[in-house]
Amino acid sequence: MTQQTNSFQTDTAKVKGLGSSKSGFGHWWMQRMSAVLLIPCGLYVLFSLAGAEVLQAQVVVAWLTQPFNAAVTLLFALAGSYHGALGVDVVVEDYIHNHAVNLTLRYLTKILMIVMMMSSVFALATILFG
Amino acid sequence: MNKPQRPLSPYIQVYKPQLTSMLSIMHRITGLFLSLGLVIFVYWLYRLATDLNIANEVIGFFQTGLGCTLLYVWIFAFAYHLCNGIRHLFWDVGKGYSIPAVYRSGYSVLLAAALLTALVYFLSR
Repeated sequence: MTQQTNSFQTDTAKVKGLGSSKSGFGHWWMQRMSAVLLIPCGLYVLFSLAGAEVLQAQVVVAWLTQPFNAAVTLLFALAGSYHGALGVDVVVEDYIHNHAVNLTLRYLTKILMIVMMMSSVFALATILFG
Repeated sequence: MNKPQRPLSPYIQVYKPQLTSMLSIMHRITGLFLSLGLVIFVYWLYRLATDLNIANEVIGFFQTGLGCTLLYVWIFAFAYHLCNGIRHLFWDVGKGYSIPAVYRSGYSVLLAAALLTALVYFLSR
């Protein structure tokens, strides 16, 4: 190598430590995959609720006791929580320059995502299997 | 690390707003807003399973003036983020990058989002 460097690392070590060919791609890819899943699930939930004659808790629970409706709603809540957490992650990375605040917010985002996922699984399991 | 002593790009104080940049920032803002909405949605699901009275109170709030306004902002944000998200997916596979195509898809996204919101409004009447 003709390029001058200020590092004691060997060329192999530098190459191994560079680039996003491993896990760096995962965040971007999962954002897209959850987005694709959210298109049909989101539209189904939105139009089912909009089309309900009377929007009352009892009516919605009755609708959710249909396994297909419960499954799509659960997928919507899970994929939505994941997609939202990935998105908030990117926004925090871009605009919060204080490292401690940045890490704390991204940690809280992940905790909130897990709590939301647990709550939606619990909710739909309870409605389906009571 | 030395901080650069010059304005950082894009210098938004003098940056002329364009359809492209406005739609881009709207995608972020609607995304953040939808994340907040999803927290309420999941809380509502949890209450549907545990306490129907509280679940009905949540519905009741979204039938008040403030709640209903919030709900329709949320529905428009959902419709916009969904349509513009599809536009992004086309870009991701390398389609629609020419300037006329970007403007055409941009206006189409706004129109489609408005139509979807109107459709939800008429279905829920």
